[in-house]
Amino acid sequence: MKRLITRGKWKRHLAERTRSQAQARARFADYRRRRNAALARPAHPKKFHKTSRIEAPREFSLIQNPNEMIRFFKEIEGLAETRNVFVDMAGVSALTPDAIAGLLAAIHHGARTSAHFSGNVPKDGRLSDILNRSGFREYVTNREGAQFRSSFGKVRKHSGSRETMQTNFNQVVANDLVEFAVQAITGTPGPHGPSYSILGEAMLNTLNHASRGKDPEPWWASVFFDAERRRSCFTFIDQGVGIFKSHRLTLSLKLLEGLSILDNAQILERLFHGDIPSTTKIPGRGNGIPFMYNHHKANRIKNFTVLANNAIGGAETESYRMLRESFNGTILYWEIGE
Amino acid sequence: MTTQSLELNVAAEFTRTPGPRKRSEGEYSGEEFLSLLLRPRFIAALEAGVSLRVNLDCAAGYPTSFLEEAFGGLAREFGSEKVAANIELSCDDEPYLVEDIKKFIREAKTTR
Repeated sequence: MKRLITRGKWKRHLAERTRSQAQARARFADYRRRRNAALARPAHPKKFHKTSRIEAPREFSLIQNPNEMIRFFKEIEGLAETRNVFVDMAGVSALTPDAIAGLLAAIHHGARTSAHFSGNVPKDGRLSDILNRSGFREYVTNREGAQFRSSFGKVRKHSGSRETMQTNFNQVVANDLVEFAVQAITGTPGPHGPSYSILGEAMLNTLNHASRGKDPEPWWASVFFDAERRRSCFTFIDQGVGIFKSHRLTLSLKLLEGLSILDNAQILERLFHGDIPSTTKIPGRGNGIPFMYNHHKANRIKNFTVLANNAIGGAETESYRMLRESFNGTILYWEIGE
Repeated sequence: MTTQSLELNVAAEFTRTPGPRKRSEGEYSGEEFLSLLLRPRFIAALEAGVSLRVNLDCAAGYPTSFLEEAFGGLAREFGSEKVAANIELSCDDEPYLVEDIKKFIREAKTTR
């Protein structure tokens, strides 16, 4: 009988068959993964029928009223696990832009469930004007297609402010926010190096240190022009682990902290002043917050404030204090202008 | 006419919007600036026996990490004294940057 398959051909055939079978197995495994993931997702997200009303703190300001605001944000996120949320802001009597960014971040965090968010504005016309110009209501109505549900990486423009939510370092967005802030003050868009630098460092910190898991935490950055004071107010919020859970303290500091000789507020003060060494042991690291503080000291920015975990520090008054409530993340706030 | 220095204009030759420290963190990083422009130009200046004049104007701003990685990185490679002696910095937009960068060069090998 004629030998149809020579030894070499047979070997090649076997190798080819093994390869194609492996490829088929990989294709099927990929298909199974996708199918299972699709099956695990409900076709229609469960809608909540109950709605809870939550009253906003009268002094709606993270930097001036941090304890009540943090408790309020936690309550929003807790309620959103099981029901829709109506944010009642009618009784608000003081409002600062950092809190608007904070509320947007809390709502976004809560909206990871299928909770429906709605709300009203302060009765005080001046405050409701601030809120409306900030674009806040466009975010919280939560109707189909509302941008906040899919706003990763997008920049929102408003008549009075600009907000953005991102998950990575994005200098284009930083520049956009800074130019918006400068334009609001001077009439023409322009650079402001210190603000650009702070935004960049804040994004990098979030990218490198703030993450709870493998994925980077989203961050929120907003600029609001306070026409009365002729100042542009920046807020940067990440809902990661916060400075004190991400910043690996040296042994000596850990010891001082453990013995209650130093609390987080005192550590924050040392961080501002550049007295906390970098524990990465890599030369040139640990300059972020000290350089931000230097910008404040040199009057290049104003009212520089950091809220992280259970401590808040303000460079304007050199006040550093512990909070009753702990914020999961870090908030940077500063102003530019007159 | 002889040239006393080589020029490097960050905004014109690299980017108006400097980025993070490392390439892995985003575009236009300090690491990229160091490897693509700063180091080659510094070596060229050394070979020509002139100083390197770095112009930092017309940029949106400079994240601290970007500057440290670029100029601190150069000093870690060539030594702080050599870099300080052969580099001139100019920035009319943000004059304080010159002092900041000199600090990064001086403390390039220092762990804070």
